[in-house]
Amino acid sequence: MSALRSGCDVLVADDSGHAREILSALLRQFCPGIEIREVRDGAAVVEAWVQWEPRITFLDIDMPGQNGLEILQALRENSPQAFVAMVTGHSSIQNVQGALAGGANGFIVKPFKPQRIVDVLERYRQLSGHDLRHA
Amino acid sequence: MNMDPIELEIEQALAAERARRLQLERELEQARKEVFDTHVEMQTLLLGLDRTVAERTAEMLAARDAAIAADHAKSAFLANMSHEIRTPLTSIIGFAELLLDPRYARMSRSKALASILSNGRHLLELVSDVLDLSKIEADGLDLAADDVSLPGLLLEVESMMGPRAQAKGLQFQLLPQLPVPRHVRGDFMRLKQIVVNFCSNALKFTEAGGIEIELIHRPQRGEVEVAVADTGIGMTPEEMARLFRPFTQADASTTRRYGGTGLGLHISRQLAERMGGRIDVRSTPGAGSRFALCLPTGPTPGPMVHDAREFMPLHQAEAADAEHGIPALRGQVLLAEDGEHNQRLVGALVEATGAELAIVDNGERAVETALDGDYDLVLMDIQMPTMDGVAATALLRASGYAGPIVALTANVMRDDLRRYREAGFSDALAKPIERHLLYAVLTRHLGAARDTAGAPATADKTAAVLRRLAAEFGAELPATIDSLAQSLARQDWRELRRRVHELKGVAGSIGFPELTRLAQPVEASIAAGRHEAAAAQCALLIGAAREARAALDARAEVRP
Repeated sequence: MSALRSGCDVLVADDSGHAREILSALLRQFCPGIEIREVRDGAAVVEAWVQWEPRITFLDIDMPGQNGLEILQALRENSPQAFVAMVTGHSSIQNVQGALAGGANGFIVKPFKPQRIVDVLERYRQLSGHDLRHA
Repeated sequence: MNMDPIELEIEQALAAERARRLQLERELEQARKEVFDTHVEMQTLLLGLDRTVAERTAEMLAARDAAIAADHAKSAFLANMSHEIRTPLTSIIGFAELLLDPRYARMSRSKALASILSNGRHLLELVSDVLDLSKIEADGLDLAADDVSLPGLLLEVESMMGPRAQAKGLQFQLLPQLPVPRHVRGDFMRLKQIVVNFCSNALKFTEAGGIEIELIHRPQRGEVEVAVADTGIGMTPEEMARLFRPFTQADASTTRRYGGTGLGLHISRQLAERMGGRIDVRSTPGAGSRFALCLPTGPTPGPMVHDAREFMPLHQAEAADAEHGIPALRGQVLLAEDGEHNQRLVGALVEATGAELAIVDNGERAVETALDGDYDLVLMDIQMPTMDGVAATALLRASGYAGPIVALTANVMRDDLRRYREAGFSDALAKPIERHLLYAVLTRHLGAARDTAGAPATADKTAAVLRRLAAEFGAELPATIDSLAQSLARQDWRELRRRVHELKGVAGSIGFPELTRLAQPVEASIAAGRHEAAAAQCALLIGAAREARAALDARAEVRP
């Protein structure tokens, strides 16, 4: 299926190069061969989403300019079906509740724990029926 | 011979007339027949109507008789009730008046107060039983159909009744005839109520010898039998016949001598029948009685218990702990629990396995810490300030957190368990925490340690930690009692509930099961807004806590 799609499997939106690198490496480890796009600027996320229609979007909350929760809201207005996992360095309860109220499908705290990434992939599989780990 | 044309005409007219007459006669006959048939039909209908009327009348008479009988039963019940209530009230009022009367100043005050207290307790018991009964009879009882652990059930009964039997100088033993099914279908709290009722009766009517709880599997009948046998005064067949009727003990005088509301067995039988079971009684006057609760297991009773150790009470099992009890594990556990005693208790038990432990004291911190960390297992208390365990778990699950979360809860009723599962809990552990159950959960979710050499040493450590916790608990009891009494005096129900809840959760685990048992109704009453009942129950709890404190002091004085 994925070969027929013009888009990508995962979109990683984070202003930190390290974070993008580590998350992508972990994702490649669990899902060999998946296609990952990265953006470093919050303002570019919605446009990138429309262009690539990723299955899963990892969206950092703490980006300069527009923060992740605002982007989530914009994304939801454009593409209610998007599967979005929020990423943050601060697991404050306000962040968690804000993300869930905004319609996030997952919540991941940096530094990345492999098991939590697997949890998100599994959640996506349950919702969509598509398993990226065996794509 | 030609006919006269006139004659011919007359003849023809006559023939026509005859034909018409014949036709009319036939029609008349037909009409007569119809009238007759209708008449017959009406007769039949009338007969049927008579029968219907007779039947209806009989039905109405029967209904009226039933209503009258029910009314009589209710009146008899009320008459009995008011008698049952009046008797202890008379004592309470009488002794209270004596206490106030200066002419009786030399009377033993403590005896009078003891009498008021025991009569008050009796009243409380009576009211609870009557409420229970009315709930059962109104069919408003929601019975669970869970897999109830038979070892768990009997150990719980043992922890409640064993100490009371020992205090009376009686033996108390669990005698399972192995193998037995591990589970039976039913409602845990109600099954416990039945067996505890049997035990209370046995305890009441036995002065010497002992009480045994037998557990027998009868595969050919598809039944499991929980029987409480005593060496008490026994009953005659006539006494046994009256046994299950409300408000009748074997003999009216036994009520005065032995107390009890006389409702327990009536309630027990109703409960047993609601769960598809029955109660069998055997008794010999002067030799003892045996009350058996027989429950259906169906043709396939499921997993069986083969090891007698599973029925060993905790204090006996302690010796076996050193070699069996504590699994050597590795991994990270997050404990979310606001009660300090429970933090220490569960903490000590978890750390004894070698697993790492982090503790937070409310639901919000639990969510933050679980998401932030890399835990193999979250143990989540249900009742916590700021955000309770159910909300925290729902939030974690909504965040995509898929790791195991086990509820720690003192509320193990059916509705609660369903609520926990819906909120996303993987499992639930009842408070007070039973060590072997906690270890079973830990073993399921954590990896085994590669090096197991350290385990026996940690077993000693756990025993020491538990001893220290019990000592600390005892030392803090006066302060605990004070704060309970103050909250009660201020009628600060929220604070009282919090304190009672913590006491309930911890006391049973470190050697004060009575306090846990008494704390339960207080919390329930506060939760239900029944503040008067809560105040009365809390007074009992405080009394028991003072007794526990006094017993600890006495023990400390005896020791060198």
